[in-house]
Amino acid sequence: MKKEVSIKQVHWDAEEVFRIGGFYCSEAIVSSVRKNIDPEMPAELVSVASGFPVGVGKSKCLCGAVSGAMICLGYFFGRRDPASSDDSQARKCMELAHELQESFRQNHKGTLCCHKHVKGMDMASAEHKAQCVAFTGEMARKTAEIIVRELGLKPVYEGA
Amino acid sequence: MQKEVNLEKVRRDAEEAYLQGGYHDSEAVVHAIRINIEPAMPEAVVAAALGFSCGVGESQCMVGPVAGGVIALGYFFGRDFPTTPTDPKSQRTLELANEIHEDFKKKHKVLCCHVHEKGLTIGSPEHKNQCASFAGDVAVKTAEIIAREKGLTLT
Repeated sequence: MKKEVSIKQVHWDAEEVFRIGGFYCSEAIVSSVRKNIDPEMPAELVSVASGFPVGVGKSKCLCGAVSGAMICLGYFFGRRDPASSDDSQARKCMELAHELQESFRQNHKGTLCCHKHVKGMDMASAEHKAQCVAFTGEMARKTAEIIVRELGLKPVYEGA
Repeated sequence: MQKEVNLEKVRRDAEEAYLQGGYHDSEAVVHAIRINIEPAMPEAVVAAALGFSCGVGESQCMVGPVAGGVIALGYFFGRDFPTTPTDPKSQRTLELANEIHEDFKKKHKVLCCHVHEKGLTIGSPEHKNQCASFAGDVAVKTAEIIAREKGLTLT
């Protein structure tokens, strides 16, 4: 785990790998958080994000960027052994998940529904891509801010 | 990886993990897949599902078990390095995730937690049984997909 985290770099890396087409939104967020905050995160955590893009398997349901952020929070604050751990740890993780999805709702029409955000857009258009790139960067940033705050890491605001 | 999968056991393990084992709905699905198909799956993958429970951070959006199923599929079929938007592996993972989503929709009409919970008291036996049955359904569908794609035998 890194002790210092450039929030801007987390934001920029997530946007860039999606912009150039290497990863989709949810994968881009986990990949950037892994690279910039915890390189020891198993690479499988990036893979688990692969089914969520375009609102879960292109069904335009839950926004993929929000899903990528949730996977990161679960990795850092979830439970390794739910059967034996007490529920207070889960409650804390759920509070952080709630905070994260709420920040997305406040910024974007009060909804996590992909189909509402892409309504009227051509899915192949630059307008659609730009919106999803921005959602990806925003969720990567918010995820990093929560992780840094909760784990007492040092945020660095220069760079990228 | 196990060579044989018992779907009834997958269902039972997911439901019991939720009802009696202290697992949240999204975690219960990944847990059932892990213990029945791939015990070598890191526990961190189960942990990654927690934020999705109760409709994404308790916002009553998409039901948690579907997210658990999609996480499990990503573990088996997803990619961990950047490729291209048309990478067949990536597209196939999206198709499989869509299959889970569509299957749930076909059985339960909508994915929205708030629609399914309407009129139910949160934490009531009726509410908990509904979430357990959703977890069981999604765990079975996820196991069926993995078994089909990986050539595992159903028992």
